[in-house]
Amino acid sequence: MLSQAEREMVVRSWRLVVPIADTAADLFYRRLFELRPDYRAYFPEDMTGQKKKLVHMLAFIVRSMDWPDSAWNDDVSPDEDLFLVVLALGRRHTEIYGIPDEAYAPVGEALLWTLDYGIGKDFDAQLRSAWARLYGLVARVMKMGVRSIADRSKAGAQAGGRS
Amino acid sequence: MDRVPVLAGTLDETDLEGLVEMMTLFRQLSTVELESPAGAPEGTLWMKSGQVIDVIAGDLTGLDAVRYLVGRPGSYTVYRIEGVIDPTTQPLMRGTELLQVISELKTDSARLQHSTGLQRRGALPDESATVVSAAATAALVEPADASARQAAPSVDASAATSQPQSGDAAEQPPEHTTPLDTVSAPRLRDGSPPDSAETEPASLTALPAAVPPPPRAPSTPAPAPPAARAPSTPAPAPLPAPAPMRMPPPLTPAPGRAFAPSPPAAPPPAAPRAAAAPAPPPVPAAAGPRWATPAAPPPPAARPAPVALRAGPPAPGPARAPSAELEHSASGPHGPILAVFANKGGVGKTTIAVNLSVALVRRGLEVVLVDADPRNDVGNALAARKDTSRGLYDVLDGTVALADVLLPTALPGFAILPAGGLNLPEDVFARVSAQPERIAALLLALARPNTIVVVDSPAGLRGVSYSVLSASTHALAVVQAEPLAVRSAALVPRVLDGIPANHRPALAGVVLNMFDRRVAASLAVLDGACEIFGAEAVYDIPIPRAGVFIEASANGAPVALMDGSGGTTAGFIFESLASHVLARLGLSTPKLSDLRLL
Repeated sequence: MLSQAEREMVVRSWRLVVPIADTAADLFYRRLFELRPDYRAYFPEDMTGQKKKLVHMLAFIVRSMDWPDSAWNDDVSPDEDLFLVVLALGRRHTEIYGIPDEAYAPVGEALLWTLDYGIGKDFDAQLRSAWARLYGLVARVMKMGVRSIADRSKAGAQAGGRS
Repeated sequence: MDRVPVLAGTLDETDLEGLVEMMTLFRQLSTVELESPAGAPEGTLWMKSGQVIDVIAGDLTGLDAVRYLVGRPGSYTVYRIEGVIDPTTQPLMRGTELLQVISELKTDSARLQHSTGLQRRGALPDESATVVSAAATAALVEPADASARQAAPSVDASAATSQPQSGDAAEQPPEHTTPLDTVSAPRLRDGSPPDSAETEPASLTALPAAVPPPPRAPSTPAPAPPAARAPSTPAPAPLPAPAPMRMPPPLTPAPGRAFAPSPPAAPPPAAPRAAAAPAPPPVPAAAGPRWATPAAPPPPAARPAPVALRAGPPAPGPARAPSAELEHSASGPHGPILAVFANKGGVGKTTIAVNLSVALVRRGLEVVLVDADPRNDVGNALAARKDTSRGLYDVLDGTVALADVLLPTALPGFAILPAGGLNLPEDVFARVSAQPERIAALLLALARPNTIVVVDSPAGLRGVSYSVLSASTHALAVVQAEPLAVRSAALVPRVLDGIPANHRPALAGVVLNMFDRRVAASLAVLDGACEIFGAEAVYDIPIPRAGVFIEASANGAPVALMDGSGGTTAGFIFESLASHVLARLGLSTPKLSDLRLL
């Protein structure tokens, strides 16, 4: 369970990643392909756009952790709604890109590794666990994407791609 | 009101807890409809932005309903609801709090199953029901929560002391089904709703209209504004419509994107939100306006850079430093400020800062070594006999004057500003990193035209480290000759590029520390560093792993001052490094070829 405090930790720590986001994306994929060289085949030759998508999606997820409580009952459009975006993202990963469910584990590992390097010594056990929980939750919703019965043409289509 | 189905599945794959957790990612109003394996509606949960708006199961609401629903088999459908909700609506509780409750109920339920069996026990005391329903009205989450916890031990007790009577639970439809009874009831009755009086499918189809039901007056959310509890729209045919608890009858159309992504309250990098607390008085006021005053014009002879090499023996820098440099204008000419930094801790940054400083001093320059690392390593490395408990951070905090903590050393022309801060509250570092301009002003004040300020910056690239880099004219990166370190070094150019151009230090070079040319990995790191920083930036004098460093460290002395055992050799390495650094800083050193013995 991702607690409020953990959400705040994630948001804070992300600010430290932002200035180095491009490098972080480099490191992430380098690490991922170290862990699973066979996953290289899932991605295009030129990874530039892919890295942008990754950072964009992570930024979106973190931003969604950062809504003020006071705004809890505002109206939110589908492409700004984290659940829908992540669900659609997961569906694309499964149905379009053919990413198997077991890929979520190495991806999570690469993500944590990257954060560890990007954030340095502040990436302590607590922060690690907060990110791990957030990733676990996002991955869980992504895996549910195949069960999605929403209008498949819309939700989250703009918000990102493979990551 | 538009209800868009989003997701469907069975509760044996994703149970209520998992569902609620996923639903916390929903920003828009969303509902989960739960059905029994037979397809009968069991209950509905409303959530928005991680807040639980309401939970209904039959005529149970709030936590009563949660208790009923936990552990039931069946299926679920998740909907997104278009439209905004009544602004006066108060959430029942946070999603995380509901998860806590569910998790406890699940534990209880498991314990219950583990024990001899189920039996009827008295319903929860009425006051408990009252508390729960009161919770449903709004802010009474705590009491409700407490009642949930309260319930647990009593179950245990009764389970332990009573005889198993598994039939009873289903046979006696209770007026107020106690949640913990019903939690496990479906297992006895093959999944059909245990309390037919309460969850009979026929009446449930009309559930929205039936809420609030007459017999459970106490559990209807009483204090909700009447307008907000408007009669719901008739249920759509295929699925039970959610009871729009506390929603206004006409759902106002969505006014577009109502949430702008909340911009962070612009705290500086790495400053925790909480650190916004009491800001120290401005340094100039506290530490005296000395180095903040618009200064006297610098001595005409002084050039901004390169720093003129001193001809004769240096005047004792520290003695002069406090008063002289404090008159120096931040905007006037100043000597170079060299940040020695590393993305990773433990790579020998302090060792290099100390020994490079000593080497620079031995070449006749005046050096102030500023320890910006809160661990106060410089003080430790030099086994200072002076008090290093106060220093940079105390000055920045405004509790002490710079002159009082700038320490002269045995080497003329070499002064050290320890990190200090040992007597300050923990949050001083956060506060300091929140005020980069104070660090900048202080470093500028130290950087008199004839002085090189060497800053041992904290490991990492953010917070104080970022401030130090922004305030420096040059930066010397330290990379440990080890494969992982070089990866983290890959971040360095990005961080430097991220600093606004008018504050960005020039990369004075990259030092490979703990280099061992016998190890292939070390050589690979050399290659990697050249790739990252450009070959011209990497010093070709990697600093070796050598026993003398450990020895020097044990003695608390710079290696150049070590007698024998390689001290001279290692010292020579830093002499060379100093030459390179001076060249990068654009400072002239006498060319050997220009020197004449006779």
